[in-house]
Amino acid sequence: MAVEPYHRGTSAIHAWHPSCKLLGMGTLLLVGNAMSQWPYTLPVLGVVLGLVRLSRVPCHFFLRRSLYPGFLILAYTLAAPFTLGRDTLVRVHGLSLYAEGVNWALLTLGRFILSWLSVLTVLGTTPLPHILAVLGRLGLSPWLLDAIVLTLRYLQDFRDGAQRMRTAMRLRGDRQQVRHRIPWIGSLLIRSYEQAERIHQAMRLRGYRLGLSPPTLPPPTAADYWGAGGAIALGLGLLLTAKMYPVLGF
Amino acid sequence: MHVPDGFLSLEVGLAGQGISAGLLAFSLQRIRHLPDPTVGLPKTALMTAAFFTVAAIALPLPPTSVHLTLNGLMGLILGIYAFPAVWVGLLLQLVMFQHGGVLSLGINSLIYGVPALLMGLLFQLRHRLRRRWELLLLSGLCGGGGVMLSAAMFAGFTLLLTPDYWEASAVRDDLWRLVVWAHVPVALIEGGITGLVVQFLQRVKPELLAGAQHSPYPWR
Repeated sequence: MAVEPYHRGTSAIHAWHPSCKLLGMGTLLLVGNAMSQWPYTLPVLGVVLGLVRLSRVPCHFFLRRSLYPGFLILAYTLAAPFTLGRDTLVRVHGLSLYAEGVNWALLTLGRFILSWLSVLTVLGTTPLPHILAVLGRLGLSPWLLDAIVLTLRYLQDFRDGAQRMRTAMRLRGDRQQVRHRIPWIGSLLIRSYEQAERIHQAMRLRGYRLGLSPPTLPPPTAADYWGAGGAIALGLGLLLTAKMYPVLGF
Repeated sequence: MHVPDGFLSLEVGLAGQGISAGLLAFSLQRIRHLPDPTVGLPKTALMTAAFFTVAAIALPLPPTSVHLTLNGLMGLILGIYAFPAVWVGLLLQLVMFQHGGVLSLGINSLIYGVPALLMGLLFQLRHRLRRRWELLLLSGLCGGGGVMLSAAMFAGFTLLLTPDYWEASAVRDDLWRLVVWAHVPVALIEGGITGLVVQFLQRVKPELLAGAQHSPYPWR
């Protein structure tokens, strides 16, 4: 289980301040998703690929995390050209390839790859506590931030607890049947509830108030601001060009 | 049933984020009005982790297996905490497994969270029930209803709102029906499991459902 898929590195993207990085990469993600035609996503994809290359995060980091969403998108984009649209491009053995379907599949694929690379570049070059600290400074509720931190903390405990209970069930000779799973799920919930009660009591006794202390980040430097400004200007420029292109008809 | 990034237009994605933020703010405002806003925090975090773990377990459904969403059960146990818990769970699934997406986080939260809230509200009818089989039926209905509502919302967002040039065609309507009907077996399984888990909890730890001192339903 990869709780923190973070790669240590010394690249410019690693050194980029998390708040400026979120701003810059977020703008590129939004600009890419604002494109309504697939050819317009390519320049934005090029910029994001450049940033990925600059980050020097290994390829296997991206490939390993592409299996689940990649499969889903692949299924949709393979089906769309044959089911969506009215203008037939080719008809073979009763199977029609539609122009609208092809356009939609390529647009979806382009936007997905762009978003996926942007998200993974941020996750791959920024520790999660730093991302949470930035989200807190951007105004995310301390209640939600604490819930995220505590959930991460208990997730591993649960995996271990569930594994222990499953092993104990197997040793007792219980079979992996649904009727045996019900008390198992129920017991897991009750254990978690009781543990939650104990933890809350302990936290209150230690004087807990909302807002577990996040890591303190240094203020962004001029270079961080220039990086964010450059990414935003580039993204907005590409968006403006894409919107103006059909009007001006270069 | 996670909508990935790139699938929805920017407008739909941002609208989803907006509505989801509104629901989060509503839930957090209700939580703030509780005598101690922190009282449900460890419970929410632990329950989110528990549901995260349980949802990762595959149940055999020959010739394949299914993963439970358990959003109905989440609504029954967590009440007003359900929507923030779903949001946190989906955010962590995105960070850890890249399920869903950043732009579609709002839509995914609505797909899972709104049915959880509605089923939690529906489950309040249990106070009027007298017989055990009635409670079993109601909790089963809430468990299965959560899945079916989520499937209908997923189909609505992905099929009805996505391609703007895809006019009311027979293919789209057939796909819509296919997505919803394909979830009927999952809803039946989840309804059965929810019913039995609620019976188990009612027998062993009823305060988990009732909410002990502080009601998880401050709107009541």
